[in-house]
Amino acid sequence: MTAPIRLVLLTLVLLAVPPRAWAHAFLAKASPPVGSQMPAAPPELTLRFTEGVEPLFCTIELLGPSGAAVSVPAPKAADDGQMLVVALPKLPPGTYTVVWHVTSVDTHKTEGRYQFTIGP
Amino acid sequence: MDRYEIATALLRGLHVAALLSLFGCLVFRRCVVPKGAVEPPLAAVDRITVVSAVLALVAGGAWLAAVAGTIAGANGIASLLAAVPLVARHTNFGNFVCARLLLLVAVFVPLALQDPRARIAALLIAGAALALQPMLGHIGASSVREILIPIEAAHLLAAGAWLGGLLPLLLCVVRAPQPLAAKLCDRFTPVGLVAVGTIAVTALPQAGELIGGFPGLFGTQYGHMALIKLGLFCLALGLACINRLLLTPRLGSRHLGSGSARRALIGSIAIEATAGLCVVLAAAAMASSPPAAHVQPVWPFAWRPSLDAWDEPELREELERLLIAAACGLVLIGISLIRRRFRFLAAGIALIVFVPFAHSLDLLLVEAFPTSYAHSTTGFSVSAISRGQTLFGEQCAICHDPQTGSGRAADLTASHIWGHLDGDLFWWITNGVTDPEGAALMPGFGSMLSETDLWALIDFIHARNVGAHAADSGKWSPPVPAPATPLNCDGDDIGSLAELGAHDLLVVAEGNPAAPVSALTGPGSIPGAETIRLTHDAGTVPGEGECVTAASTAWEAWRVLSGVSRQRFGGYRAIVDSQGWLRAWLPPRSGREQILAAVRDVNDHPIAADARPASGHRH
Repeated sequence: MTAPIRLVLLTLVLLAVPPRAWAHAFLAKASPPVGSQMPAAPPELTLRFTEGVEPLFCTIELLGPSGAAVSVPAPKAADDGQMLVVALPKLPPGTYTVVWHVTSVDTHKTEGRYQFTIGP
Repeated sequence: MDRYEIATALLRGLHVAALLSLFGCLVFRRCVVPKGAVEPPLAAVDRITVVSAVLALVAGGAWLAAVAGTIAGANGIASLLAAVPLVARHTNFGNFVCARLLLLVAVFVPLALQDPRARIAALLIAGAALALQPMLGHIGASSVREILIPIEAAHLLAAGAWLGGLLPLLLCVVRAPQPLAAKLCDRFTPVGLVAVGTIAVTALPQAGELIGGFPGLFGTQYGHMALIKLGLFCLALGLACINRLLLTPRLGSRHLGSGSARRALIGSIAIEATAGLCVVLAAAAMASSPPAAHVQPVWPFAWRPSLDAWDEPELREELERLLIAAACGLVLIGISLIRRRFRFLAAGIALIVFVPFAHSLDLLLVEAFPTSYAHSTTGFSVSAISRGQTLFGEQCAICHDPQTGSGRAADLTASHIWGHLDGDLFWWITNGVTDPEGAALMPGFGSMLSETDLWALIDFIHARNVGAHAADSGKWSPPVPAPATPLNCDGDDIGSLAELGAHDLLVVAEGNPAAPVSALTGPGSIPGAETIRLTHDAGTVPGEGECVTAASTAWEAWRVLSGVSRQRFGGYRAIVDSQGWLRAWLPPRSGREQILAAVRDVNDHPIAADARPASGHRH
């Protein structure tokens, strides 16, 4: 490696800037929380994302302990467009999987899933 | 990017390029063309202006349709036609694109009037349409959009004034009489200078937000496109300098050779404009890709810069000599620039001074791997630490734990663990470790563990490491962020400690009847600090005004961080400062005065805002 390349690298170290905020919608917070165990079923599911989402083009699926889909209404936006809220039916004990597909306000699509458990 | 995404990016690029051209033509007409000029090329400039507006309108509509099809998942013409009005009416993107298209329709009115005042109106309308661009991309969705939207708008307007003005300038240089062509080139200079300066200054904060740093620049597709864009920008800038400093003066002279200067200028401006168009297309491709700061970078080099050698006393001396030599070299280069008479002598001495120390630059480089700058995806959560603990027991303890295994392998409680980047640890655990001769020292676990599990394992290794030191000292050094811990505060789910706001926290482990948590809870119990009960049970119902942990893994994860045995952990208290750093442990029998003194000490000695646990840990 030549000295100029080394000098350039050293300059790069000195100029390095740490990463900042997001510009694609990723899950920032969920209620019920990711991987949580709840003593009783919550009345609603809320997902907060790292940026604003377009509720009309977002879907939230809830899969029951057997893997079958649980019928839930379309999500509604809240909290400056960064949160989606879905009213939940009465859920029996078991492990549930939340599958989310969202379109962020910059039109990019992201998706993810997580589980929570109801029961002792 | 698939073919549909490439087509969408091209439509976006075409639309923005046409918009830049429209704005640039109007700036050229207003700021570059002398008042009263009526030569034939100016009519052609007006025609380019109209064509640009038409192209921007058509490409903008097509772009809206393409994005609508993607968002709605349209799989045919009928579903695409149904998606367009939905997206136009009900999305942020659709609203702003429609507003822009309306502005583009409106711009035809003043353009048709062919009047100087009408051209100013057209310029303002086109500028407003162009300034909407930040709302249609990553910046408009960023958490710091209030700051970056005006910055990107200025970036776009400057790009329009410069790059958009190149086509009319080229046309005038081709067709206008030589004196007018030279005059227009002269008058274009201040516009170009202001524009280039604005572009350069406004690019930096955007790069900081979307690229993040050099790992993102060199290790991601987005970063590579940014490098291409930067290269094209430099090419266009270099040509602009040649045009201004060499070719324009020759074009304006009455001597022989002005004809060849015109030909050279035409070629140069044409290449500059083409480079500008490629810059716009590269920007469109970047806007269609995830920003570099939000994906895992793949470091392409076998080495990376590091200042670790500075911490070694014997190496530091060598680096200090290198630094002094470099400083002397720079001073001599500065002298050579000021005193041009001595420039060769000064440059020669600079080389003689620096070269003997150049080999020391190797100290600033260390071995690197593709994952070196990858960052953990777990958020250093209690569940990740707990999962890592399970995996450590199954896969690692047999060699790395002297109590339950052989302990023959590396001591993972040694402090130097923090000197390694998380991404380096990830690489070694994934691919194994070999000695300098290539013999295996540790097998790779990449085929057995998922990526999430690998990061969880690293979280546990870090937690166990700091715990081993905190158990002796009662303090965490290097500083460690408090793990993400779900809470239940007065019946409300709180995702992590950070959501409680910027004040001190006292986390008290339950399980010691002699040191009940209730003695520390309640309003005003520890002034300025909020108490959190660390429970075994995720379903513990908090008392009125109380916060309890809401994850069954929390108690054990915090215990690991304390380095205390399970039998002794009940009643321990951890102080988390207002910035989210773990600061001090207090044993169960600590009195209220001791706790208050520890909280005061924490507040009197804050961790620096840019502090990181050693050099490597990132979340």
